[in-house]
Amino acid sequence: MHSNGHIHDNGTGFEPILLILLMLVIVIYIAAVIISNRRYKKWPLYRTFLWILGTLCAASAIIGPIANRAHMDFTAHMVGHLLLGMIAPILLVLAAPITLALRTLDVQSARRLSKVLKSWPLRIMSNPLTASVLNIGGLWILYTTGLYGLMHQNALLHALVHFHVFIAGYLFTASMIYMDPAPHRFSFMFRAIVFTISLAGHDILSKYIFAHPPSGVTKVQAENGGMLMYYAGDAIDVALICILCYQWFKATRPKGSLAL
Amino acid sequence: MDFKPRNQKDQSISELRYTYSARNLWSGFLFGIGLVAFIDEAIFHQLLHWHHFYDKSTTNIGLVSDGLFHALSWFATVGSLFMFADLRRRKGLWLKRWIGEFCSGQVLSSYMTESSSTSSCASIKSVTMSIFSHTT
Repeated sequence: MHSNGHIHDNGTGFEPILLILLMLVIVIYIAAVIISNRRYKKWPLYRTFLWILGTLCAASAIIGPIANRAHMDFTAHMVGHLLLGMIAPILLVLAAPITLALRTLDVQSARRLSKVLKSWPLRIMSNPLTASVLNIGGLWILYTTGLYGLMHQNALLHALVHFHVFIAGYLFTASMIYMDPAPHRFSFMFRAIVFTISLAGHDILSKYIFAHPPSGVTKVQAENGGMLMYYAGDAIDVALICILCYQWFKATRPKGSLAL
Repeated sequence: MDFKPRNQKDQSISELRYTYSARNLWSGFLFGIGLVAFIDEAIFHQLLHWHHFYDKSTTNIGLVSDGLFHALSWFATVGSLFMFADLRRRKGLWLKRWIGEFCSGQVLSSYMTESSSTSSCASIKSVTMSIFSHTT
């Protein structure tokens, strides 16, 4: 399927628009930093850096050499998936975009934004359980049904799947580590348990791909892709575990004593 | 003449460690589990190739239990070390208790890695691990 067909060059249609969109995302963030720095204390430089890096990670998964190779090569597809669904979300969450938005907007709009954050759809979606099902469940559907093969024949479906991988990845990361103000918080223990189960789901899926190649993927490619998903996914998730545990470590600091 | 502890700090340490007795238990136990799982991954999978990433004899339930145990061991390793740091910060570390639980975590973990892997060499490893943990 990949070797013969794949003629539609969706790249030429989407790429300039995507490129402008991604540039805009970076420009808006920097503009917000400059504007809000006038009124409040200086926004840390590393957050701007993380935001740019995160956007570039997401960009490299959908435009450029990795994205082009991903149509033929399952391993390249997996590199793109790791960049778009795991690394970019962590970097973007660490850049605390909601906090920046709240301190840049005027009071009225900021109130409206926080009302949206408190609304019931976001309450449901930011629940670690829902976010995990959307993230890991989405991947299970993608790789164990015919969706993976179908995605390469339909440009719209292709874009939609990538959008879902990114959004679900961001939602999952944001529901596990609280960098931004989160109105509906869950205990560290609950998040740790849900995280462990979803990491297990990720590991099991990568071994499943190793043994049962998705439609249109050769055995060797599925084995390489599955192993990459397993080990690289582990490495990224360990980083996430470290951040979560560090937040616990800070939150349980004994009161009434100087920190360390 | 009233009795005075040799030093005020010692006294406070011995009291605090009872307060954090449960945290000492979990920290040591989870680190034991995590370390053995890490040794299994690094030595028996990567260096010696005694265990395989996946082979024909891997059952579905083996796949699931392996995945769950693998994920748990990562969280256990990192989380237990943060708990260790927290105990030190609170001056509540109870080293003997910690090491004792560390050993039982290791024993449990070595049986877990044995049951979830398909290698025939696993039992040898498990016994070695048990001996190692008992002598610690």
